[in-house]
Amino acid sequence: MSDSINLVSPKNEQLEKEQKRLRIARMSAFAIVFIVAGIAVLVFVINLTLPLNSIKHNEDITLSNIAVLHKKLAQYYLIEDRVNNLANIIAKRQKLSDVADALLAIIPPDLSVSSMQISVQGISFSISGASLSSMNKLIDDVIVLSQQKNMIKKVVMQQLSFDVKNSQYSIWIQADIK
Amino acid sequence: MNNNINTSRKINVDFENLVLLYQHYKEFLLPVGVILASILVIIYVVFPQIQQYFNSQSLIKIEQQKLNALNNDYTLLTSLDDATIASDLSTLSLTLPAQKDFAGIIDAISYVSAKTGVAVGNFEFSLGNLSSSNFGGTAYPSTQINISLRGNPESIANFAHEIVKTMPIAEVTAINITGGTGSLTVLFYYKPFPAQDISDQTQIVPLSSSQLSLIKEVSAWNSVGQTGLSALPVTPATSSAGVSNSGSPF
Repeated sequence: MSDSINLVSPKNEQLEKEQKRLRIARMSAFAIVFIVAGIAVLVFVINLTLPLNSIKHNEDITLSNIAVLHKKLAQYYLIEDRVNNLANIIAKRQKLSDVADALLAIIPPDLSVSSMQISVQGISFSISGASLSSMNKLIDDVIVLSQQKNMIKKVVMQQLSFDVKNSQYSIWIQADIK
Repeated sequence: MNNNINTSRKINVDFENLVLLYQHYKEFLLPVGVILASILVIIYVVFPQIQQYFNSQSLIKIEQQKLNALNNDYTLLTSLDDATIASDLSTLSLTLPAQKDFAGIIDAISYVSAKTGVAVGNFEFSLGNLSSSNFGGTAYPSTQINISLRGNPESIANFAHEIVKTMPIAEVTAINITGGTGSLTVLFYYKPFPAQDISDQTQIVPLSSSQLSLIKEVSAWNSVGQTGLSALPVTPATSSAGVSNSGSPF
């Protein structure tokens, strides 16, 4: 017979281990259920309290307020349309009257305009007078108009003639519009 | 719980063994089942809710921007003075009519003639392409007029200068001066109102400073007559060059 007695049997140790595993499993299941339920409820509440409906409601109110001002809105759009179109037309239209003003402004008083044609294609003008020095000044001023004021380009003096009968010089100049 | 099994040992999966396994692990079934159910809840409930949260956040952002835009529109509209807006529209509609404005053109020529002291002789109209396809986009239909004038070169040039600053808007495309007479080719523009439905939800862009200064500029142009809003075309959606002009755009 053995001298020592084993009071704890291997069966009981095994049983305790099994019970410990069971306790851990139960506690884990409880904790997971608690956490999952908590997260689900939290996210649900957060989704529920999002201000989406309130924003949409405010949108509807603002839209109904704007609907009252529909006439003004229509007028505003028409103004915008007219302004945009006017801006386009003004930007693209030729400023021939400015060119005519500029040309007439440089003609010395002792010279007179025989003819002047200004169009999109170009300028052609004929000036007559008794003074050659005035003619020379006119040519200088036309060059200035071309080089400094950027109104015309490709200035060509087509003809300078003298009418002996009337003692009149006549100059014919052509140019392109910039 | 009393039946212990050595898991390292190979076992035969037959009915008796299954019963034995069940009896051994039956206490674990509930916790394991709960954990599996929790995982299913996470997959089928929690994740979709989280996804919905993020979707809602982006939706809220969009709706908030829309609301802000609407509030800005409303604030802008309420800040506009009724009389000013009506007056601006009337002025702009005189400056750029929605259709051919023969009366306005003749009035403008007479006005500039009187202002510059240039006598106006014959003039002839030319209407160009009248098909409605020519009126959309950035195409600007026009009425061309050749005007015979009598006056010195300076006054004829002055006439050309004034006519482009007179309502309706015009462009001088040719100036011919010979001695004491001359002729001008002038295009008077018009533009039908755009074919668009004005929705309350369309965002309003405030007029820029250049647009406001343009309104101020054209308001200072020569104007013979002022017509009220009743003379404006029937709807903003009109795109034809038709002569009929009844009702209000609103």
